[in-house]
Amino acid sequence: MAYIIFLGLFGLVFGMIGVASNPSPYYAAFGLVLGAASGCLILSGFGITFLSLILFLIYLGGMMVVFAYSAAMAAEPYPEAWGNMSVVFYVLFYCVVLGMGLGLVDSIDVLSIVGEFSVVRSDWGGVSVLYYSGGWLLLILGWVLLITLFVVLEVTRAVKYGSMCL
Amino acid sequence: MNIINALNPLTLIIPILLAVAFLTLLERKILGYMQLRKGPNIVGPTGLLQPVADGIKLFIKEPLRPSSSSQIMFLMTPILALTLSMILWTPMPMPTPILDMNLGILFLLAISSLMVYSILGSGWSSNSKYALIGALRAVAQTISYEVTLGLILLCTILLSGTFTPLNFMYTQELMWLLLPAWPMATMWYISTLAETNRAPFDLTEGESELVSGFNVEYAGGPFALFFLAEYSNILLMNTLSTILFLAPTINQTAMQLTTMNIMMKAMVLSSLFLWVRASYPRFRYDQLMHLVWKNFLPLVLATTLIYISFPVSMAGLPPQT
Amino acid sequence: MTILALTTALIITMILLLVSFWLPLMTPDTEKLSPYECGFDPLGSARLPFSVRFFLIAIMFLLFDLEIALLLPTPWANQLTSTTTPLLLATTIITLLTLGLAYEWYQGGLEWTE
Repeated sequence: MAYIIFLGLFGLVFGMIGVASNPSPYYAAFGLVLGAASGCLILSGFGITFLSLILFLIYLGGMMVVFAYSAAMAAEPYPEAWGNMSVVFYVLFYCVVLGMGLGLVDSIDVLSIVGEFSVVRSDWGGVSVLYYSGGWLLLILGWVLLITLFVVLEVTRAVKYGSMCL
Repeated sequence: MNIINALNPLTLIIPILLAVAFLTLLERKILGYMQLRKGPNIVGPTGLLQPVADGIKLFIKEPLRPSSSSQIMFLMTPILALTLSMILWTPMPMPTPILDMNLGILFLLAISSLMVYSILGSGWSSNSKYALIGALRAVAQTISYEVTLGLILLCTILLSGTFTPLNFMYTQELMWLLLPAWPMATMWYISTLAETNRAPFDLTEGESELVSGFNVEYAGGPFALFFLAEYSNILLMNTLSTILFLAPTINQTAMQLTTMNIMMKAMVLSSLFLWVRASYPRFRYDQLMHLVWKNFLPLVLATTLIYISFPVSMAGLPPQT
Repeated sequence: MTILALTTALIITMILLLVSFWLPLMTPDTEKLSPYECGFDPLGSARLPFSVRFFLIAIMFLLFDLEIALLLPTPWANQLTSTTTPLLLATTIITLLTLGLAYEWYQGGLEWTE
C-alpha cells in the first residue's frame, strides 16, 4: 500500500505542475484529472474510502466533466500543449521550485490512520454527523448551492439579453 | 504472484466479451423477426457464427487516423471506454464479485460517471463538426440522466441500508424491491435506456442529421472498441437493475444456480431493451430533456424524501453496516 | 487483487487496439484522412461557438450531483440516536434544491424551444 500512496503523491505533484504551467484549458484539464485521481488514490490508501469515492464522484465525475464540456465548446484555434515554449518554461520553473521545496523538507513522515475495531468505519460514522451536530454546515452548503443556481441563471440571462450578447 | 490469480480477472472479462458478441446477434435477430424478415442466417447454423465474422471483419478493416485529429487522444478514448466498461463489472455480485467492496454501488457510480470522458474526448479529438455535436448531445443527455440514476440508487440504498451490492440480495430474500419501489423501478429502467444511449433516446447517433454521432471518424478496431463498450454497458446496466430490483436469494449450496438466475433476468431485461428499440420512434431532443428535468427529477426528489423518512417513521430501519 | 483486475482490463483493451493496427493492410491517403463531410472539403472550424443552453444543463447537473453527494450519508444518518434532526435536515436540503429547480423552471431555464 505504501507504494500506491507513493505513486499517488507523485501523481499529485505532476498534476499540479501540469495545471500550474499554464497550458490551454483542454490540456490543463488533464493535469486536474491526474491530480484529482491521485488524491483519491492517496485517500483510499489511508483507508478513507467513502470520502475518496465522493471526491472521485464529484470532482472527476462532476466538476471536471463540466469543465471539459465547457472547454470543448470554446473554440481555440491553436491550443498550447506542454511541448510549447512558454509552457515548457513554466514546467521547468515549477520543477525547480518543487526541487527546492524538497530540499527544505528533508524527510517526509507519513501519518497512517488505523482505526480501532468497530462496527462502523470512522469516516462513515463521521459523515453521518453531518446530519446531526454538523447540521448547520449542511444548511450552509445547501444555501450555497441555491445561491449558485441563482447566480448562474442570472449570468446566462445576461449572455442572452444583456451587454455580453454574442 | 500466483498464475491462477492472474487468470482470475480473465474469467470475468472473456465471458463478458462473448456475451456482448452474442447480444449483437440477438439484437439483429429480434429486430429482424419483429420487422418480418429473418436477420443474419447465412454464417454458421442459423447465423450463430455471425458475431465471429463481424469481429474478424472489424479487426482486419483499416483503422483511420484523420490527419487533422489529436492523434493521441483519438486513440486513447476507445481504450478508456472499453477499460472502464470492463472495470464496471468487477464489483458486480453474480453472486460473488471479483472485487468485494463495501462501497461497491458508490464505486459503480463513480466509474460510470467517467464514461462521459471517452465520449467527449472522442468527439472533440476527431476535429469534425458531426462528431463534436454528437458528443455534446451525448454528454448533455448522459449527465442529465445521471442525476436521476444517482437519486434512485440512493432510494434503494435507503431501503437496504448499505452500499454493498451483495447485501441487496439479503434485503430481497422475502420480496423483490420491484414491488415496494415500482415507481423507482420504472424510472430507473427508462433512465438506463437513456444513459446507455439506446433507442428511443439514441439522439447522439441520429443518422439523418449527425451520421453516427461522436464516433463518425472511427473505423475498424477503434470503432469495435467503442461498440463493445456500448453493448457491455447495456448488459451491465441490466444486471444492475436485476440486482437492485429483482435479486434472487443466494442458493448457498449451488452458487451457479444463483448466477444463472441473475443472468437470465438480465437477459430478459436486455431483450426488453431490444423490443423497445423495435417499437418506439426516436424522441425529439427537447422532449428528452423535459422528460428528465421536468418529470423525473421532481418526482425522484419527492420520493427520496419519502424513502428517507418512511423507514424511520414506520420503525423499519434496515440493519446498519 | 484490485490492481490486478484493473490492469488486466487495461491490458486486454490495449492488446485489442494493437491487433487492430497490426492485422489490416494500411493504405492511407489524403482523401481518406480528411474529416468526414458529404462530398466537399470541410467549411470553417470544427470547433463550435459556445452554447449557453448546454452550459446551463451542465451547471444544473453539477448542482444536483453535489446535492446527491450531500444526501449520500443519509443511510447512516438515519441510524443516529436522534431521528428528528436528520429528518429535518434532509427535508430542508431537498426542499431548498427543489425550490431552486422550481425557480429555474419558472424562469424558463429548462425550455429548449425558443
